[in-house]
Amino acid sequence: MEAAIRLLNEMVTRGLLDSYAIGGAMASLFYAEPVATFDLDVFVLLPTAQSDRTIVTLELQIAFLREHGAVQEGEHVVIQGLPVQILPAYNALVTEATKQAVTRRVGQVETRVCRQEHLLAILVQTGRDKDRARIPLLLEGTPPDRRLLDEILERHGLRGRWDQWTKGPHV
Amino acid sequence: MAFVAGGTSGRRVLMSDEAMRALAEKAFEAKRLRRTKLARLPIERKLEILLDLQRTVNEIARAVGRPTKAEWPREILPRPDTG
Repeated sequence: MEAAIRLLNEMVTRGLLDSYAIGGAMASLFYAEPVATFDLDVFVLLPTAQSDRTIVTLELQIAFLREHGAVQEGEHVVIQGLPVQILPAYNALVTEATKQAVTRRVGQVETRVCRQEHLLAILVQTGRDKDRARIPLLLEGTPPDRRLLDEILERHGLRGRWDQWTKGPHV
Repeated sequence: MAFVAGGTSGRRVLMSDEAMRALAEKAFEAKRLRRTKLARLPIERKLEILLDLQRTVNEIARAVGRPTKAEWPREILPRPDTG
């Protein structure tokens, strides 16, 4: 885990990434009870010159990781046994979540993790059944900042689905 | 009125709906407290639990003939923060 985080931090230092943030189930781990997951999702903001291209690739980043012992397996880059999925921030909400991520310590290294409020909004936006099922767990662990959550939901047009999903006794 | 199993004794106990509801509420509250407690664990401990969960998920998958996923090696667990 630390090896993967160190490489992500190193990519930022070297200008290969503008920023990154851990998202998905691994990010939820920082706020809620552990749930099973088998990969580490990382949202990345690419340097402007790279992200402005018509076709965005992660060629430079993958090459860097390979140079440091990572192995590409399908959609993952496996870093010392840890499958990491690197996802360029694909919309306004994920971009905001990556930019506003918080710093957390894991063992001896610091990393960036999406805020709980953004994770909740991303679950609503993604909209699958399994995303819906994760919301009560994420709400129950650590109470989110409700004002911030409301602002995010409003800003990204997610209020309707949030209200629909969180009605009822289970949330 | 409803019958519920009498724990490990194997006896059956007659309970009112109200008592059943109270029992269920108590169980749900205990679960909620456990989840909150788990949520407050340090990330290092949560990662250990996550590895155990991966193993359990794969055991279940094997038992029902579903494909398994690669479990993370124990080496991914962070070293204690000494700083």
